[in-house]
Amino acid sequence: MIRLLAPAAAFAAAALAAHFAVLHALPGLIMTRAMQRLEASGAPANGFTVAPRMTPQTQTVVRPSPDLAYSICLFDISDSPAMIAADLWPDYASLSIYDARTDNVAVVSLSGDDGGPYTMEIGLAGRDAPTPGRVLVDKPRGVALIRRLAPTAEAHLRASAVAARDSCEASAR
Amino acid sequence: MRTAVFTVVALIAGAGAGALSAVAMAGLLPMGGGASDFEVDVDGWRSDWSIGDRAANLYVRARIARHGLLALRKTEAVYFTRSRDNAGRPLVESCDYRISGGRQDAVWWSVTLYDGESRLPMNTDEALSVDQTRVGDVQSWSAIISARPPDDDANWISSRAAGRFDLTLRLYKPSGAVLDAPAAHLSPPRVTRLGCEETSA
Repeated sequence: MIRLLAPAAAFAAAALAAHFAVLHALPGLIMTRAMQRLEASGAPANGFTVAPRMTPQTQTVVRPSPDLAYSICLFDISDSPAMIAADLWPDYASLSIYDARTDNVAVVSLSGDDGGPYTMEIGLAGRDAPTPGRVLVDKPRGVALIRRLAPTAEAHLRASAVAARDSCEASAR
Repeated sequence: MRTAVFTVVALIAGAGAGALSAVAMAGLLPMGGGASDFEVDVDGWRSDWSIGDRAANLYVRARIARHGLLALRKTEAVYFTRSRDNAGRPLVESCDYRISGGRQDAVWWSVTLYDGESRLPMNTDEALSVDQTRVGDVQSWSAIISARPPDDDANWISSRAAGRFDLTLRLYKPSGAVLDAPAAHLSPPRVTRLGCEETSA
């Protein structure tokens, strides 16, 4: 009986460690894979890509809304912060920042009639100082995502024209 | 020597069991499930208020990363999902349904159909969702969920090529009342089965 104690303890310890190690790693792994897929589809680092209208044939992430126009920037602030500028949109619209662990670090409204642009800087916690208008993330890579309500093909065309003016680029430190 | 071998085998088996249980408890296995401390359920429409939030526990984080990557936090949007009709039967492509509801306490809302892989179903019907701007009377609206277009000009969500599917109700900029007391302030759309294709033996 005593001889079974060591294997039993080893089983329990390994199970516990693996359980929490896998849980901890999963979001980052899934986010990394999604970012790789987006890169492979042509999305550049530090630059917005205006996604085509979401259809079964164009979807690149799970559960996209076919009623929204998406613009996505894969930011990499390893060397310096990134500056985002985005025009406002008369219907629902938002800019959201996701870190490498999938947390929605920040979200701001882009709804409005006066055009904009709205600006936001993304900095690295521990390296860049917190300042008004700057959002800090823990890891240098992540995703900035703009959603604009565009439930028809015509609205999506208009949103895409506005989104073409969005920018996401490295800023001077 | 034998104990050492048993211990190594136990370590490997334990690591496998631990990893598998993590995946299962995060709801990442095909049979679904998973653990959550923040679950909201209003007449079968289920959500999780910790989506997109750093407060989310490890299980919720893993599940959302797999099934709702790049979701917004609750003050910006809440996502309700249901995979059964109001009688508790699974939603399947071979049956037709009516979804009906009323005004939602939010800036904008939509209902979208996804297949079992959390993807828009692979069809070309251009009838993937209904939303506040296209549904007609927002105080009392309905749509047909079917693999074929309805005979009349009713709103349509196509379930063609969806197999067993689910519906996601999105509320963007939900009111504080909905967030504080969803059971009292959400107007949950009803999903009623109309009929099913007869299957031949």
